[in-house]
Amino acid sequence: MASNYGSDQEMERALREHFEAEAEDLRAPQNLWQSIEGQMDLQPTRHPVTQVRRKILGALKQNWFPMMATGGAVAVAASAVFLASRATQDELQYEASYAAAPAAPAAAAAPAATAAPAMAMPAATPAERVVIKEVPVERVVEKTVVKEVPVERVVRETVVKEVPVEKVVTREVFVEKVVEKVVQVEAAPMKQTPPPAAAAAAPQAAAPQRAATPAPARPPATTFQDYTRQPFVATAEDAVSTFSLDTDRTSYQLALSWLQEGYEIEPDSVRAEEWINAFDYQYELPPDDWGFAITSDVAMHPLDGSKHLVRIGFQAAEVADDRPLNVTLVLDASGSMGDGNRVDIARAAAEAIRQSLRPQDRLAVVHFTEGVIHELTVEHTSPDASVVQRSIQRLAPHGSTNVQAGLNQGVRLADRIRHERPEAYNYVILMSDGVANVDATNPFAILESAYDRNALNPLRLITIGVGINNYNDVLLEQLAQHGNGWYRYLDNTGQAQATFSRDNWLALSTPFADQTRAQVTWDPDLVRSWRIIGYENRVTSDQSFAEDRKEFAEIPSGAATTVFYEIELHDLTRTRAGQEVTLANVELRWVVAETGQSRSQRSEVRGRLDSSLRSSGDPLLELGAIVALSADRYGGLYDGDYVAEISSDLTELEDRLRSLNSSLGGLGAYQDFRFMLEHMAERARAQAPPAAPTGYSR
Amino acid sequence: MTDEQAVLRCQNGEHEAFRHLVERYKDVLFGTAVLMTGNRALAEEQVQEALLAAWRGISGFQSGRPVKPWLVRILVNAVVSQRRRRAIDTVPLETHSHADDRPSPGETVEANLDRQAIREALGGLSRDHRQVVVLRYFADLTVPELAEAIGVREGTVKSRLSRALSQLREQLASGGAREAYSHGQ
Repeated sequence: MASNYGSDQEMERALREHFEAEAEDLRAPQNLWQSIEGQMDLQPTRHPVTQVRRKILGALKQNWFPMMATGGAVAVAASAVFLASRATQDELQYEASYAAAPAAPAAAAAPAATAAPAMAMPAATPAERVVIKEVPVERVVEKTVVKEVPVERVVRETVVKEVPVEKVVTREVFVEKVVEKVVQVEAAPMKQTPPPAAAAAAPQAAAPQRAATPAPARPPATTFQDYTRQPFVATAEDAVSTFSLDTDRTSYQLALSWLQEGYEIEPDSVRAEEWINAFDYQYELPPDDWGFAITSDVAMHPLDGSKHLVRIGFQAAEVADDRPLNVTLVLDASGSMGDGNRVDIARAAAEAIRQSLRPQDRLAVVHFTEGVIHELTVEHTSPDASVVQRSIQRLAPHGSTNVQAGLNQGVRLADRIRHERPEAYNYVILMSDGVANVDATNPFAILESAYDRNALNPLRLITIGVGINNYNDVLLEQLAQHGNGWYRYLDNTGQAQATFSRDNWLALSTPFADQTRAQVTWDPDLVRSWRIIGYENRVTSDQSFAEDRKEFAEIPSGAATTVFYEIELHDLTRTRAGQEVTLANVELRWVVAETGQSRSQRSEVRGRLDSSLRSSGDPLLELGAIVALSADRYGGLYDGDYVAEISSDLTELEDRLRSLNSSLGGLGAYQDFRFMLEHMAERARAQAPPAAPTGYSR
Repeated sequence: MTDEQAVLRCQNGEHEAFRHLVERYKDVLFGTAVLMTGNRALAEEQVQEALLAAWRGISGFQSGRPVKPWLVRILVNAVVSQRRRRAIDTVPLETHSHADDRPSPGETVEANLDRQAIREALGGLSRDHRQVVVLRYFADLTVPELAEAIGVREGTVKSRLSRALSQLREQLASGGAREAYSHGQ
């Protein structure tokens, strides 16, 4: 021992020295005054004001007044009241969303709203559907109202009835924060392609694998969501970017499968972050299992000389955790699963999971069609029990699909075993093509019924998608995102076995961090504007960063998440090309899966402004940049006006990717992606207006 | 501007004067909150809440009295009431970012080990004991100030402090915490 703490005096001295040394790390955040001052105006010093109003008014002042002042506030509030009545009081949550398409741009522009009142929320029309979502009532109610007061009454009393118009607006702040997120889900109507008849007419709908020219058709009757892409945001208006991490890669896997089956990649189905995160960038692991290794790279933009590209990587520690598992398989046995080999895939995946489980784990099986097939239900037992094996083997398709019934039963079983074996992690694994057609067919309605109230030992909902035609990507993705889990797509039985091989399963099933989100704060003196690539449905309000929320990502042991930003620097900054500069601060927050404690870790985005992707010497960085930009540009193909630019960008990226062949040509992932990008660029060129100058060299 | 002048000007509604007080005391308040709750996000919220409460209540503050103990008392109340609301309790071990667990330049490995050992020993104290240690040796309150801040008698503060110190000494002497740390290297 270095020091001796023999007496109280020595101990006191040691403590003072200790705290002096710690003080450096315990400094208050720089912007503390700004956050307080924003709320002080609205602090009457003479008569007390409720906590609620204070917070609401503070938030209002910061963000939302200009938007709401332009109108529509009352209508929105009224709709909010209507829908808030759906929320149950013990869940302390409610949902808000607009089904009207015009709401989408307003939501996308939310970060810039203070300076762009012109893009204000359109007045609510009767067509709009408002679902208020996940405003922790604690924040709204707090000291003023007893907790048990139903949400609708809070709304009515504090907002609509008793408070003057200005305060009605304030009530909307919280509603809006979440609306912002849900609007993106609900705004664009889900696109359903014509049923197979139309597709069958397409000449190459059944083209063989790796067809030279895929059919122009998209797979029939598939459902996905076009999330409006994020705009550039001026740091003068908002320098803070907050998003949930994401380890899903399904959008990429789906696209690859479609192409291999002879279909085109659907631009709406592209979620750039899932393409980016499909690749292994070989980040170094953190030195111990406390947290993450956060790395950042800055390089000149490969497509635009006036911009830079920033990559931030979050590598989770690899932890060994031998807590047992409670696993509940919920298998879709409906008729649509009879298409192609999807039942075989689901069966193979279920069996692979069973074989990867250890003796201390417990496994249950639920089959569902229009209801639960009770004779095949197996309650939690040893994974080696013959009754489990038999139940998995007997998975066969018939009838319609009631995902809600299946999930309900799965959650019931999982909840029971969770109480019997509280020391175990809990997984509910749904295998389905996502085509729910009985009872609740909307992800939020399904989740609501499967609502999990035990935050400390949560149920983790993993969704496994199978099938190409007639596939509902939105349902499965949203279920996992809001169910504290993750989402994978399986294309064939081999992939099912590989994904759930014992080693993979052990890593995937060991949660490392829950509710993981990041906040990047750009230095407004150096950076003029920024734009996040992808993460459209993971971007969240800056305020929510401080809250542990279930829809933030669950990160398994050893998993990595990567994010790319396009940034534009001030002219003055660009003169500092040869120097290393700090462009942003990064903070990561999460809840330790094992203990439920909240943690936070900080880092910086640093780099030289004159470095290029090529000079970085890391071909995987360049590959990631190409993946990010191509997914981003291609995803915009349906947005309309920029086809010529998209086509030119994709062609340039294609050339760049080709030049990586010497360093990455040996990787299967590289070859797959090259195959994809060639088709994407080809399609964009075919769609570009013939007369437009393309700007590319060939 | 002295604290006393600042208080008077605050009572006239001058934001700038309050800013002066915030800038002067924010670090000690934030550090105290982090050490008490072990959660930086929560601490930030509590400090904000406490400072806003102080602003609201400053018209009733008797100028000339020391400001820091008053602010700390409001903060302690915010922490306690939030703890009741949230029923969250974590230990200070969780508050430190990665870099903190490594020696900083100029700091010897040994000194760093000592910091870690003391941190862990603090984490082993009961909430009440940790609270008095933090307020006494980090926030640097006197015993009477401390007693007022947490609403107990001075004698109680003294006995809590003395028990906390001997428990810390015991724990550090046993070296249990140290072994656990080395093991992790």
